Parts: sequence; structure tokens; C-alpha cells
Amino acid sequence: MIRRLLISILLAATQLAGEPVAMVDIPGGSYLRPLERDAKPRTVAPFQLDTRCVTNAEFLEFVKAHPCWQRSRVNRLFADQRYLYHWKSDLELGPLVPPEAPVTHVSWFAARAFLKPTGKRLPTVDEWEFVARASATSADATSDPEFRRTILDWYGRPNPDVIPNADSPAPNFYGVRGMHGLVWEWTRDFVSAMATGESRADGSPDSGLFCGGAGLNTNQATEYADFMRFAFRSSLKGSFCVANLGFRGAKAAPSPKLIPTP
Amino acid sequence: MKLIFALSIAIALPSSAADHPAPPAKTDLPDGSLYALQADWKSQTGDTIHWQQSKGTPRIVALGYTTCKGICPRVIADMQRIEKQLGKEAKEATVFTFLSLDPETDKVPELKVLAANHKLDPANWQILTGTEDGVLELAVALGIQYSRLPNGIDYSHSYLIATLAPDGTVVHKWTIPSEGPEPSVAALHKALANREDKPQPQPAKNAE
Repeated sequence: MIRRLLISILLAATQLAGEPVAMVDIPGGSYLRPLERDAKPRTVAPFQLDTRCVTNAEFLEFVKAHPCWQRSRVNRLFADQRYLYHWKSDLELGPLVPPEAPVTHVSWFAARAFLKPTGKRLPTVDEWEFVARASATSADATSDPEFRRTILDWYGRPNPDVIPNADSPAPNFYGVRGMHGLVWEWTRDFVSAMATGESRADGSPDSGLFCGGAGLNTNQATEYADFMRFAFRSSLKGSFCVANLGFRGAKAAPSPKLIPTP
Repeated sequence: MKLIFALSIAIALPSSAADHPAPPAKTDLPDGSLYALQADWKSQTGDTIHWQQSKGTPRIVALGYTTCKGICPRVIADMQRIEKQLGKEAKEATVFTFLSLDPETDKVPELKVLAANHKLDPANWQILTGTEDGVLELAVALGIQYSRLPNGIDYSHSYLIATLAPDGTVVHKWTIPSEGPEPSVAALHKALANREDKPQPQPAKNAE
């Protein structure tokens, strides 16, 4: 009894200080990328994924250690004017920014820079989408209307002023929290999001989003959430910092054999 | 519809004018200079190109891959149209840079063949390959969308020929093939005229 009490006190203490993020093994497998229902299934290799998004507190430690990533010092090539816009200052979060909430207003370049020293990387679009299919009870809930409705409901709600803690959503089938319902997330190859069929050679910056959307079969209301996610990704640039866009880390599954990297 | 509207607002936000004043740049490179990217490339001559040491070099930059039968030959031909129109001095100052999107396939021998096929002079043409991460970062910085097609060989990618000032900032993007080389040429001439290290003709104290 006393031991249990001690453990719970210890647990509470570590939570206060911010627990280091755990990773879970994702077995990978074959899956149909959303909006590619007629294409061949894609293969996702086994990998590991953070169980939650990177938090403000963690990102604060990173910018303390790497001053070139502080708000007033960052190169505009890597992060636009809204980089860490919601923080009180370079090194202060401020009252509206809970330390344990997902960090947002971060660019793709900043997310990569954060993950690099941790030995992690951003998940690919396919890795992210593979895990995002999971409900609490099923690895693939894409045909579950209730699951789809929950996601769409979240997309339809305005962003809260204060984003809830990164570990507050219930874990999905894999034990991963907040794939839906908290913030959008950066992916490593977001630039590939829409360019799947033919060369989108016209280069017009807006065409990827809305004209591409018009070409999709929007009658399939069940895929509407997928469409929004892919449209959002294809509208991004690497320097963009957005109020409800965060990230989490991933890495390849540890392999028994050492594979030399080129 | 309402959702799309909300989405478009969310997307419009990052590019809208910020309420905070722009923080000062803390590097010797101007904000937005592509030469802030850390990457090393191999060229068609087998040389290592340290990208960050490019400062002072104006470039015409495009991305593609050597096995491309689609838009890439056209991109190189369009870069050559820029080259022809630049004039001797500007042409000699500029490095024409074609970077491979496919570092797995494109090694130095493949780059060499591409350069030979298009008769690209190694004096002012660099056909480059690097790491997957390096090319991804440069592509993202330039705003290029690309992905490998399901056949595992080809890539779909946007048409883009970027003009870089000597300080590495992008001064023009040729994104519509029918635009022609003139705007790229004009942007490069302007950038060369504005370069800081170029001796200015006006304060001709010695001549007085």
C-alpha cells in the first residue's frame, strides 16, 4: 500500500517535470494511401513512432541549447514570421502556452532540426497515415463511420485558444496519442502529398490545393477528412509556421543486422 | 464548404503580415539565402561542392533526374536558353546548377553522361547529386513538389528554374514553361548590377 502510494507520488513528480516521450513499434505492412483507392497498395516498413507530439517544454530546451533556432535569431529561409509566435519571448512560454501542450508555430525545417540530435526524424506521409487509420480498438478503422465522423467533427471545430496537453488524448490501437483531435502534424515528405498521378507542371502555387481537389471524387464523403489532410499538406511550404501544426518523431525499427547507410 | 473556408483561412494565416516586427538576421547571409542550407554535393567531374561556400556565386538552379524522359531535357534546354541570352560577362559569372532528385540512381558517371549528352561545359555547369535529405531540403526551400511514382523509377515534380543572386536569395522563379528565359535573364542581370562586391563606377575619385 505504502509502496503503491510512493510510486504514485514518484509518477506525479515525473509528470510535473515532463516525462520523456516513449516510442512504440509499428509493425508496418501494406496499406492503401487515402485518395489512392484505385492504386496499388503501398508498403510501410516497420518503424517506431513517438506516442505523443513534441511539447513546448521540450522545444524550449532545444532553442536554449541551439540559439540559432530562437525566435529572434532564426533565418527566414527556415521559419517564417510566425515562428513560435505564441510564445511570450525567445525563452519564455507565457501563460497561454502550457509546457506539456504540443509545440506549434514550428516550421518543417525547425522540426527536423529538433529531431536530428535525438536520432529521430519526421514520419513519412505513408507512416503517419498508416498509424492514423487506427481507432482505439482497431489497426484499420477507415471503414468505421463512427471513427470517420469523430475526425471530421474535429476538423470542423475552431482551434481552442489553449491547446490541451500532448498526452491527453486517449491512445489508439498502437498506443499512440493525438493522431487526430489535437494538432495537425508535419511529415518528412509533405511535398509529395498531392503529386501522385502526373507531373503538376503548371507550378501555380494555389492549383495544388483547390483545383486538385476539384479533380477528386468529392462525392465520397467518407474520404473528405483524408482530402482535407492531403490538401493542407500540399498547401504548406517548409518555412510555414501554423497555429495548429506540430510534429512528432519517428525512426526506423531497430534491425538485428547492421545495414550500412550510404 | 464551410470546412474548406476555415481551412483556407488557416492556410492564409502564415503568409499574412505578422503583428510582430521582423527579428534581425543574425548571420552574414541575408534572410532567405539558400546558401544557409548545409549540404555537400558531388558534381559530374567528381568534385565535391560545399553548398555553403557558394556565397558570391549567382546560380541558375533546377532539379530533375538523369533518367527522366519527360520535362527534364526541356528544363536543361531552357537553362541553355538563359545561358545564351546572358551575355559573356554574366554567363561566365553564373553557375548553371542541375541537381538530381534521385541520388540513389544518379552517381557521378550518370551525371557525366547527362553533361556530355547536352554538351554542358564543366566551366559553368554543375550537375550535382547528394543525399536524399540534402536534395529534400533544397527542394522544400525552393517550394518544389516531387514524389517518386509507383513504378519506382520516375518522379513527378514541378517545373522550376530558379535564379539565385550572388548572396543566395531567389530573385526569380521560372515556373511556367511558356514564360521564356527573358525574366530570368533580367533578374540575374539586375542581381549582378546590385551585388555589393562589384566596384561601383560612380565614386571615380582617381579620375578627377
